[in-house]
Amino acid sequence: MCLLHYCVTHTIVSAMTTEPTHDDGLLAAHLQELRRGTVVLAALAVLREPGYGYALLEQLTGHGIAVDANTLYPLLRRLEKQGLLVSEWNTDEARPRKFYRTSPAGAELAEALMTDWRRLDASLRHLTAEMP
Amino acid sequence: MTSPAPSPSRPTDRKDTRMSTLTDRYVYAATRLVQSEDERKELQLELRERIEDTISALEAGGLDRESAERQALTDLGDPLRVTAEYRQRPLHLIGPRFFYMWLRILVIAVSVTAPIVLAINVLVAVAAGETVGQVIVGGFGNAIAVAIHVAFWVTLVFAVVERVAPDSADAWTPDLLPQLPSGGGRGRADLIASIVCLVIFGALLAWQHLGSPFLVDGARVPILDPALWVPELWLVVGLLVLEAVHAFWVYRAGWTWPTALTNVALSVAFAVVVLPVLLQDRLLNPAFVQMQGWEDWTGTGTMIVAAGVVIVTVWESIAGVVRTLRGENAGRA
Repeated sequence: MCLLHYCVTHTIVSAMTTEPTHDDGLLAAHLQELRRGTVVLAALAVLREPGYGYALLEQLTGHGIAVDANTLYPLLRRLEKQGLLVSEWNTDEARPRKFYRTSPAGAELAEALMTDWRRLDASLRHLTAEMP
Repeated sequence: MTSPAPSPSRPTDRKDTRMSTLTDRYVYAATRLVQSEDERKELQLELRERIEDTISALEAGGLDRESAERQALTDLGDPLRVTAEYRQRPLHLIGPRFFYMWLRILVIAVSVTAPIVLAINVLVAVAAGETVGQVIVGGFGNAIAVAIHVAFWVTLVFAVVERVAPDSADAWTPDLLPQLPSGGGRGRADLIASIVCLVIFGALLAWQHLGSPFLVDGARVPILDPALWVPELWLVVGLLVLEAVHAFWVYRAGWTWPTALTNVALSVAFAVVVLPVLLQDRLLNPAFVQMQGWEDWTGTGTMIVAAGVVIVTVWESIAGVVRTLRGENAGRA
């Protein structure tokens, strides 16, 4: 039973983290981990001007914030559900598009995240400066 | 389809109907299982927007429309997975919240029921005079069948709970820690006694029906009224299984208010099932009573048994509460 238990747990954990075996994969996995929260911050910052999914995707990519469409679209929905974004369908053009805009609560959260980002940056600078 | 109509002002968008059907099929596949119509329409519009935008971008990159559409849908991936991510539906059967609770209950339920079924089957088969081979094959076959059943239903219940339970599931607290093994102390003795009693009781129940030693014209005469199997006796069997699970719980958690109150509930449930049968004198098989010539005695007999059931129920209920008050939940280590 214990063995089975270990196998089950281990398989699930492996599947979730997809442990890479070589260095490139390892770096990519850690970079992804490090950047995860920054997409939220970037989206909340950019969407102070209303925008739709694909435009935001291109904007973020253009500014060096690599994000997968399969991450970004569900993220926008989640942020809307959390009240950080508000949306509106724009049917003026040929193609109906859902325009998202950062809500006041979203702007407040983005501010808090940004403050923390700067604090982390400062902390890491101090830490690396202290290193021999 | 409730999809947004492609603008007639841009006919180049839909030159080939076969191409648009691929997107249509994707959107349909992704949203057909969404129950709420509002949500489905919204999802359809969102997916269509995303697909069309992706196609346009790929076309701008030099692909023809057909391969752009194919590429866009390939990048999107399995439609059901996309929808699940959009709707924040779990992509697992049982997640981290309930995984260990599920595992614990699965192990307890299977390890309680399978041996009981095995014991009952072996007793019945032996009483029926079957060969050793038949006894073993039949017993283990039924035990495995019951284990599979129990595992399936437990898992099904957890899979449903995973999807309907609100996020604030009961948090783990240190009170849930099991007692240290007490080296055959009181807790383990209680547990073994309970399980043995329950197995014997369950076995007797099956034996009186299937292995009754009383024969009329070579046919076995069950001691209890066969009409009671549905639903009373099955309820009793169910309660026996719950009692066994409860015994394990008491062994792990000691006597606490939850275990004591569950104990009261189980005792009362047993009385509720059994007492009406006794009071209406429906317990014994009329054929068996007639055979023994007990017609004049059953009324008195069942009343005495009913009184016994009441006393045992009250005793059981109070005993659990008293042991909780005495604090027999700690210090056993």
